[in-house]
Amino acid sequence: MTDSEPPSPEVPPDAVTGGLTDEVRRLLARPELWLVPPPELLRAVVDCIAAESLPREPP
Amino acid sequence: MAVSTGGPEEDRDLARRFVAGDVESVRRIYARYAGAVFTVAFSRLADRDLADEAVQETFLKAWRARATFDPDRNLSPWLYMIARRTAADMARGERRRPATTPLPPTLAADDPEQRGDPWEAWQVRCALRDLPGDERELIRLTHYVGLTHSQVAEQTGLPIGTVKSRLHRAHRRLAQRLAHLRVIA
Repeated sequence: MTDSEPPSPEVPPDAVTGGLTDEVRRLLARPELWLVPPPELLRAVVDCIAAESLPREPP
Repeated sequence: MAVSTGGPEEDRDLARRFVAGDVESVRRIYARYAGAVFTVAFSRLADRDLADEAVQETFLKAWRARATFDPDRNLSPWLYMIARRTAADMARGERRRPATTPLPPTLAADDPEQRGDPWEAWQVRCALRDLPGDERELIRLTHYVGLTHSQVAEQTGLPIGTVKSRLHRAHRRLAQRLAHLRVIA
């Protein structure tokens, strides 16, 4: 992000939040739209999948 | 984690590799969809740890069921369905716990009616993922953190006119990407 981008004076203040439905705007305020799973979860998923993908030894 | 913003073509390529049993494709699919899976899981479970567990379970179930998926179809609704069912199963399991085990505080306090349609939440999360990072951050500061435009300008060091114009652009992108939700509604 830079400071060099000139502002757009043609954008009226009431248009800044326009274009989205009330439902979408309500969702954007909810934590589940922004929280992310912890990074170690990917490793756990990949480890489980890799373990399941190993060829099984014949009995 | 860097999240690819690849479109339907990348999804199809990933889906083919996934169905073929390529473990590495899981990392890419996870990078694209783990956030949206979390959103659906948290919408139902309202608990961070349970939602994390549901994310893991969703990807494992998808992997085990990969042979049933047609890679020419869209990966997104398929993963969504698995995520929603997984979260629903976990929610039922939580309710069946003995009364001596209290519900997680957030699950007990949060009103499911206020959480809305999980498919819509999934779509919004995917649309946010595809925004440029600076625009996504401005949306987060405005809608989630609840800052005014002046406060966003102060926090980011951007001129307030730039904050407004970037927010306008971000809102327009989101509205275009989510236009189909209006039709459904």
